[in-house]
Amino acid sequence: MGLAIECRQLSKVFSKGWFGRGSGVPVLRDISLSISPGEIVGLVGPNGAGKTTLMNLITGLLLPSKGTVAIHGHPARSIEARRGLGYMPELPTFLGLYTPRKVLQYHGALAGIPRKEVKQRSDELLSRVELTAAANRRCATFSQGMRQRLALAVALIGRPRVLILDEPTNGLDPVGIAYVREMLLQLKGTGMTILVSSHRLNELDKMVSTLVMLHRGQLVEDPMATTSPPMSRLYIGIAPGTCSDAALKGLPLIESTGMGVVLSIESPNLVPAIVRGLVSKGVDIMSVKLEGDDLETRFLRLLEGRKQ
Amino acid sequence: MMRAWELMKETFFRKNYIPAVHVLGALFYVLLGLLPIRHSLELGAFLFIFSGCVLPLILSQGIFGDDIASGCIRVVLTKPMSFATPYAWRVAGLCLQCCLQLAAGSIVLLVIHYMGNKGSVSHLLRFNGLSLLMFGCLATLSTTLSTFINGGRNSLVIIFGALVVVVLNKALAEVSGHVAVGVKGIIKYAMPPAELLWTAGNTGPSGKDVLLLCCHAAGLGLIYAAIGISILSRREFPCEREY
Repeated sequence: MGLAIECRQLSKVFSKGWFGRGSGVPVLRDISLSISPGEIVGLVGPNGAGKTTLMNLITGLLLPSKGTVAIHGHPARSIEARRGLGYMPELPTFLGLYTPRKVLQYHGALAGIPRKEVKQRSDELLSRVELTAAANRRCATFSQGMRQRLALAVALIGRPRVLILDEPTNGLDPVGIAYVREMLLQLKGTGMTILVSSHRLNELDKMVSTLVMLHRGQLVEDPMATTSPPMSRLYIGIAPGTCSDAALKGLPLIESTGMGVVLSIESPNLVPAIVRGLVSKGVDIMSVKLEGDDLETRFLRLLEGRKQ
Repeated sequence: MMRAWELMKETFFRKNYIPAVHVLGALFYVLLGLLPIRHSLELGAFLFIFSGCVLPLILSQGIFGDDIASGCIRVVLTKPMSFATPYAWRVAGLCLQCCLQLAAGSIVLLVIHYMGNKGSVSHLLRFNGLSLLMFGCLATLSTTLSTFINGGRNSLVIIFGALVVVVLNKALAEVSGHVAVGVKGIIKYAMPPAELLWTAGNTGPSGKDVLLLCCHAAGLGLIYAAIGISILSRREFPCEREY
């Protein structure tokens, strides 16, 4: 089976001035990316890194300055590429006079779905995004969270094979976020390819199989893969006056106070040996807490490394 | 068919004020019945003024520009259809609204004529056709402008352009140089042919002239539409942060 999304040496420069004659602003540089069918890929990066621009190039809303984008082998912007595409923008807007049911009917019709199927699918999607109760309310009265959920339903109405989601959990409460996560994992199970950008890195950590990180318009190594083995923090509470500097010698120390120490360790398997060693040196241990190295920490560390 | 119908329907529901404009339009014709209109005055001329010249500017205001400014267009254009589809069916939606407005207006004017014994309706059918041609020309020009003018300023640009044309026409009326003739030709044949259609409505030209006029107006509409579709399929749709 071919690739779901393929970007080859993609660059984007935004022209400035009249008729694009001014010097351009390079936003993406030489991006090559391959995403296989059925993958959930997270797109992360600081503000201005080029995430939305990359998504817009994939959806065909922008034209590349250099390079190519293909969706299931078809050039982005072609009707064939758009046939299998679902897109949810970061700030969705709808016609204020339309109800969610009408919005879905409208987008279903644009996607070329027969009338009968649109009705059935609209009801199914409204219930899936928990908007059945508001199905006949005008969209103008909707909260940001409701708009996000409706936009997700709009993206799914055409039964897409590739789903592009720009910050889908913006404006959602924790329950809504968990709901979207569950839904995306379910969709992944159906073989759908999902490219999702988010600032909530720990949310992405729970659902994506691959992470693509952008920094200043360029691809950076996958923070999940490159910082392996992940570093964890071990917090050890110590009874006052029982720990000397000699007892801590040789340990990967981050911080030490009279009440405890913080160590950086590569594997949780090291915890028993460290605790045994400290006890054997006469240290009274009051508590032990291991904190995993989450995606956000790895991302920030990677970013710090890039800045240096 | 469903796609076409949804795109046409959208042109009616996209703004809160559009249904109100249609009601006000019908009221405008009803109010004519209260005025002392002489028998020689052709009532169809009112159709040409309101439905042919004013209505397209109101209905097509921001027809693409609003969507581009709000970002709605970004979802619409990721659907599997040619870029000509939303353009063509939205213009068709505008023309359908014009037809309904013309029908309602004609009924009211006929009632005013036969019940109130006011004005003349001898050219009413002709004015209906000419108003639709004028509407089509202005609506396609306005829609094309809306593909690259963000927001609802496309109609304002047309109003400003019409004022410039009137001033130029006055200024160049007595001038006979090559440039003046060229400019006058452009105004007469490349701009929406309001003057030609108005004259045709009042004078009753020959069948051949009517045919030429129809071809001219329809041809202009097609050229405006081709430019609009071409811009729509070539331009980019970045989100606001990317500008």
